[in-house]
Amino acid sequence: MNAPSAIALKENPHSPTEAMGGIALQVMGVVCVVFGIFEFISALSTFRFFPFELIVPWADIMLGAGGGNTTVSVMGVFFALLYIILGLIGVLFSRSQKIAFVQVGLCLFTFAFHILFLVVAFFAGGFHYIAILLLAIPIVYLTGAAKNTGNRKIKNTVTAYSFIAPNLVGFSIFTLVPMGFALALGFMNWDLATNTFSFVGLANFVRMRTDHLFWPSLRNTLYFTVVSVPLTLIFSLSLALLLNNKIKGRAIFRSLMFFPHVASLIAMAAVWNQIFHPTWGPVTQFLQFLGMTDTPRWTITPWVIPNIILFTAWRNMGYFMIIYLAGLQSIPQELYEAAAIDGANAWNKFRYITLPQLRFVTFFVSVLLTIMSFRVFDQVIMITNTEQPGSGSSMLVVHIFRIAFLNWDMGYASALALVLLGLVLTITIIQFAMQKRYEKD
Amino acid sequence: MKTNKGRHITKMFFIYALLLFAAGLLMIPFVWLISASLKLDREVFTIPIQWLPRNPVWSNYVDIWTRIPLLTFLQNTARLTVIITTMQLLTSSFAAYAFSKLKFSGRNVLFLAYIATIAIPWQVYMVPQFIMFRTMDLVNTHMAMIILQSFSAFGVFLMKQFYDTIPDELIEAARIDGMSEQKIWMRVMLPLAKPALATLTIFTFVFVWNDFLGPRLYLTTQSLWTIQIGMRMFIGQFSSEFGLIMAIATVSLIPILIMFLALQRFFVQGIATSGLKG
Repeated sequence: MNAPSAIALKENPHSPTEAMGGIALQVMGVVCVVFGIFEFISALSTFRFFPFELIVPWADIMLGAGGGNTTVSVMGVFFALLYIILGLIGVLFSRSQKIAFVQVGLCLFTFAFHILFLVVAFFAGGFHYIAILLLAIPIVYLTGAAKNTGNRKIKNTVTAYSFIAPNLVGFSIFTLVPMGFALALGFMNWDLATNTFSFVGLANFVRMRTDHLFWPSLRNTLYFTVVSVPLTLIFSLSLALLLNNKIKGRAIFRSLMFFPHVASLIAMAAVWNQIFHPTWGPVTQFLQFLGMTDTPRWTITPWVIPNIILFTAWRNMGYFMIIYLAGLQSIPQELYEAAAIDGANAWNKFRYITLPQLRFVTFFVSVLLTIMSFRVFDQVIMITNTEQPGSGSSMLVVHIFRIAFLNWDMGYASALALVLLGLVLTITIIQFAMQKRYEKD
Repeated sequence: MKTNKGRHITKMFFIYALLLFAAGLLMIPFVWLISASLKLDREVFTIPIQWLPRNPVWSNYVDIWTRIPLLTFLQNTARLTVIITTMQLLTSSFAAYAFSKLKFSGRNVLFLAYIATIAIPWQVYMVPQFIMFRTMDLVNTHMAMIILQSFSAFGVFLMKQFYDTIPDELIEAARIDGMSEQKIWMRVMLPLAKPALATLTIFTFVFVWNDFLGPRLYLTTQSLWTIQIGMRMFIGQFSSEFGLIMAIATVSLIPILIMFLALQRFFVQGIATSGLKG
């Protein structure tokens, strides 16, 4: 590295930053000891020597307490002692550089053991989500100890991870773990009453063959995607082209066109259903005015999916219009000037400059739109006004929702979710591959 | 020259006409919404439709507060929105600082993992997540919603994109002055990152305020419901009282409208940058 790091190396050991390390260690040391004692009492209480949970109100938020599982309680006692030791050396040696390395090592071990204990306690019982937040203790402790080591590499790494930790810990536990779990759950069955799992192999996938709502849901989702992606794309590009002229009140037009995207879907779908009502809806009235006698019934087949497509396009076109607008504004003006000199007309400019220049934006928009289309849910529920739409309008996520949260068949629902994941990934990969090939040509 | 100018005027006329037509068409649902919210139920269905109610029924806006626990729904939604937005801003801007300005082993791999998960729809893992929360006894609590939505990969991605545009020399200078990394984040980065913070605020605010599936899965007790799920139930139960339904819908849009108007400049910027550099 360059100059600043050289200066930092010569830093005075009693500079404010170093003192911060010492204070952090002392404070977190005390916290560790207190937490360790609480945990010790709670863990012991499950041995039934003494019913501590009756007199200690915090007992249920400590790991392992109330689980009644011997392994968890033994681990709990060890865990508690670990924290007490860590806390004591933190308080007693808050400034020693040599001990600081020991503190870093022990702290990392405690952190790892804490996570291991979380997993064990989660499956054995006696788990409380507060125990996850308590991971903050070793993290803050670690930053203090790392500062005291005086080793730049340790210090930098620990500082960096302490920045990421609040997000990473929450994100890993509540998003990454369920993601991994999703892969396994598709091959299992889950029992609602006992919260237990059994491995069933490919049975869930075989079951799809005879599921009389799965195939229509899949077909409807594909139909929805194939029509709504190009439609929204064309609408948003047209709006962006219109707005890309030198006009007054551009910001107002942009806001007006964008607002449908942020307005509540539930509220606007209720409005939509009235506007498209088969007897009194203004759309029906207008069609009758034009002379149409057999006006569509918009909430049943075959018109329900076109209706949902229109509604979704109405909601989303403003969002993609803004992405297109940014893309249009990044096209160099010289290209158009050169084309004007060559005598190109408006269509040729659009065909040979605008469209090719927007290639990447169009690719990006179509990937986003496709992923969004496969997740369609709220619209279907609201437009059909039921949580269990039939084969004419059910979609993949609607079906997953029905199987999981109305029939409580979690294993099968997860297998269906894996189909959704497979579809989304396949289509994204195909789009990326097509984009690559196009770039080559 | 003259014909050129004439052509220009015709062109602009068409552009304005088309823009007005498009904007008008897109606005029809909102006009209908506000119009219907000021009507008696039977007036909503008159043929042909009256766009301007002859005698505005302002009492719809009074009745909604007593017919359903609307205030409770609004309070619940506001509480969740404020807490989740704050948590996202804090954790995302904090983590993004390390990804953008600190060098450490595992940085690229970790960031790649973050980006990869953005592409995976929530619906793929909502089922195992629900089982996990059920085991933790968190189902039917606001805590479930908060934990579920506070740690976003998208937020980290968006903040990092913005931090990358802030020159490293600024950070180095602050380091020479002896500032700790935490202080640099607070005193140097945050004030400069206001546009990105505003963008993330409005994204999260809009998402949480309008979220339907999350509260539908996790909140079963009526006193915990958010405005969206409350509105959905009301639409199901009182399907003929359109004046009231539309008054509720209008009220539910107001906070979003205010937020949107206040921060829309940043929002447009944010969509454009986070979208294009991806």
